[in-house]
Amino acid sequence: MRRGAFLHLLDRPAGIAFAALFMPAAVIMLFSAGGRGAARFVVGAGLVCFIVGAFGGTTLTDAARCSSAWTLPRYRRALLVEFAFCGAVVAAFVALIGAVVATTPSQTFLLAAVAFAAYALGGALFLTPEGSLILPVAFIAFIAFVASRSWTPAPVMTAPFATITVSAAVSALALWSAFSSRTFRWSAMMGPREDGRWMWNGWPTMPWWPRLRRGRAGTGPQGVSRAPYVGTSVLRGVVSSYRPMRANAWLAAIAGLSLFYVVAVGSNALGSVPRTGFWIAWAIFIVFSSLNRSSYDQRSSASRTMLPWSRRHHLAVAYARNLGDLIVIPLVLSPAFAAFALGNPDLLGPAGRAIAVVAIFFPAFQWAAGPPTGGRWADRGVAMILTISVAMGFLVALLLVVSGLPLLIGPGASQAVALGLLVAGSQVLNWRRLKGYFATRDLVGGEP
Amino acid sequence: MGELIFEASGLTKEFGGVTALRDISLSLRGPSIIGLIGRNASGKTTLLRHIVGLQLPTRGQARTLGVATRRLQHEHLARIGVVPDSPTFLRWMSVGEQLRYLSAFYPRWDMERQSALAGLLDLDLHADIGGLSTGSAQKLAIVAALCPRPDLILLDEPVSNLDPIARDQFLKLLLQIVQEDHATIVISSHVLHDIESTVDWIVCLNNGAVAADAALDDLKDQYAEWRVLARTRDLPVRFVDAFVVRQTVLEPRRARLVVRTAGADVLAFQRAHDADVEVAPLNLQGLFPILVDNGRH
Repeated sequence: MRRGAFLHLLDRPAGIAFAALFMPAAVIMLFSAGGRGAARFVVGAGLVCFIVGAFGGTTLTDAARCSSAWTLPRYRRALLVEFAFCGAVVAAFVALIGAVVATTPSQTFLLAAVAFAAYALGGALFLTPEGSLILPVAFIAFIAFVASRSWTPAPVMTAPFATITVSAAVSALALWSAFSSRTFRWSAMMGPREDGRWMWNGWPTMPWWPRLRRGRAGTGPQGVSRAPYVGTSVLRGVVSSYRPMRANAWLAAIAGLSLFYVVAVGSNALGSVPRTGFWIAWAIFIVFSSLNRSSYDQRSSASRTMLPWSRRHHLAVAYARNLGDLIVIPLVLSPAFAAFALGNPDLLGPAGRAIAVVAIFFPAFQWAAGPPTGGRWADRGVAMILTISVAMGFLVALLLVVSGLPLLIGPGASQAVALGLLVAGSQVLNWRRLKGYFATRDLVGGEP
Repeated sequence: MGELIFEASGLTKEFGGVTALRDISLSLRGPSIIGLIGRNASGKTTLLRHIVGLQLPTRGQARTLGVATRRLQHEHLARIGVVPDSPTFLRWMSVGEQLRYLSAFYPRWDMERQSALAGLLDLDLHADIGGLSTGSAQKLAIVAALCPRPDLILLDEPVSNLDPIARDQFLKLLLQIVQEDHATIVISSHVLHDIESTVDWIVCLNNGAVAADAALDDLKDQYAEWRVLARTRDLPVRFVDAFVVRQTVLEPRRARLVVRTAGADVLAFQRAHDADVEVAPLNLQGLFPILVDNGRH
């Protein structure tokens, strides 16, 4: 009775919510992509399958990190077989839609191979230790690649043998990597994902990446330094709370940012990235950055309860940290953005509006990442639905504001005032929410 | 001689610049209950992880159930039950669901034992795992580890989070399991008083090296406590006898010594110091600092 190792994990609110929210949207998107030709359909199908695989990967991550996972006999094999089976079903489903709306019968196998490879890759990137490092970089590269003017998906269809061969190789490599004993050993050693990390595979200590020494002299509880910082105690609390970030988190952030700079500045020089592609890449990068920024450095008050702080002090630090996050990311990105905008002065308006939307939504991302006081969301499914909803709302708002606001409010100054008011409003709401939490909730281990 | 359960030869584990296990050579045989003791960060958890193949040696060999630990297959893993120091489960499942999920992978999952253990440890099968206390999660880990009727059971600090009643019941249960299943149990614990009544073999680690590897009874035979009361004159500030391992002079005429029994002559000592000596056996708590010191030397 080994069936159900993976399927059983999907049969819960998070899985049902994912199916209910994502699958209809995916089917609509696929039918829409079918109208643009077979090549575009294959790319769209790959993206859909990647997301489905990624959802499977996050589900498997929780299971692989259970303390009993390593010793469960045949567990890896059972998970692999069922994960691959699900991938085959999804790929077949996508191929069926393709056969109806886009591809010829001879292209069906090619489509299924690409879809399965994307699914396997999506799962692997969430399971393997290096996935968290590769994923943001690969995602931006993918978006930039697909969005570039010079790229066309036609070779995918005109060289079917090469496409199928590459897809098969990618599938094999991804499955081997995701279900290897090395990955499961690592998962068992890592323990459960920490609060707020509903999606990522944590920011892991990769086996080949040495951990920097964290136990430096003069370090207090949870990495809060006793070194004298300049400024108020709130500022000290904010600054010191950034210290426990792991070296590889910094590495991943630097790698992601570097690629963003290459894309932004390089595309400016080459003029090869259309505006929409750039904005989508930028927006998605911000989404993921903010999600991670909110989660990977212990943001909840639980990590600071050993300090002699009042609830009011905790509140001030929490709000200052949220505000700091809001300011830091656009600041880090602004040189690349400025370099891009210099070559495209007509994009200054859309860029400003996009930044405003990020600022408006930023507290919502932080909220979705986990309760600010302590503990974790009671149900990962709730957290996931919350985050997906916020991310979707963000993307819709981004598109509407970037493209639609000038039609609604003509002058740039009026737009700036309107967006400024919305930014201020979201900050007020965020402050009130935090105030409510810190006044009424447990500081440690509290459920929302 | 029982079955060779685990064998290490020159086993060394390094994490960057830190050596967690140093050149360990060890043979664990069963059925038996083996106490794995040592100070904090002495390498106990790392050794347990090597036994189950979760960590691999940097140098040296490790074999469990006759197989190199890096090559443990499902049929070997099915014979091993593990209770980690911080057990984790799928938070969204109930206790019963989690056990059902796990049971599907074991050929010898014992449902009767599951019911009995859950009752004995007062574990609510309908409770959500996300809401379990640390102690209840530990109980769940114990049930999950024992129900497959494993031949080798690895327990990493299993009693640390249990209340006294559950702890007592659990330790009795271990004895019962060894008798019923002929299993070998390796139990790592700091609660020496509790495990003393259960274990028959002791492996003591100190700074990643083996400081002691012997039957508990043999260790107890090797050392004894002497309560010394002088009759006519004050005792020396420091005893220089070679067999005295530790000494505490409580008053000028009263002292408490831990001695190595080999070479210790009570009568000669009494004559030399004109004192009465009461000989008492040493418990594990008393043995522990000596074993650790031996390892250090």
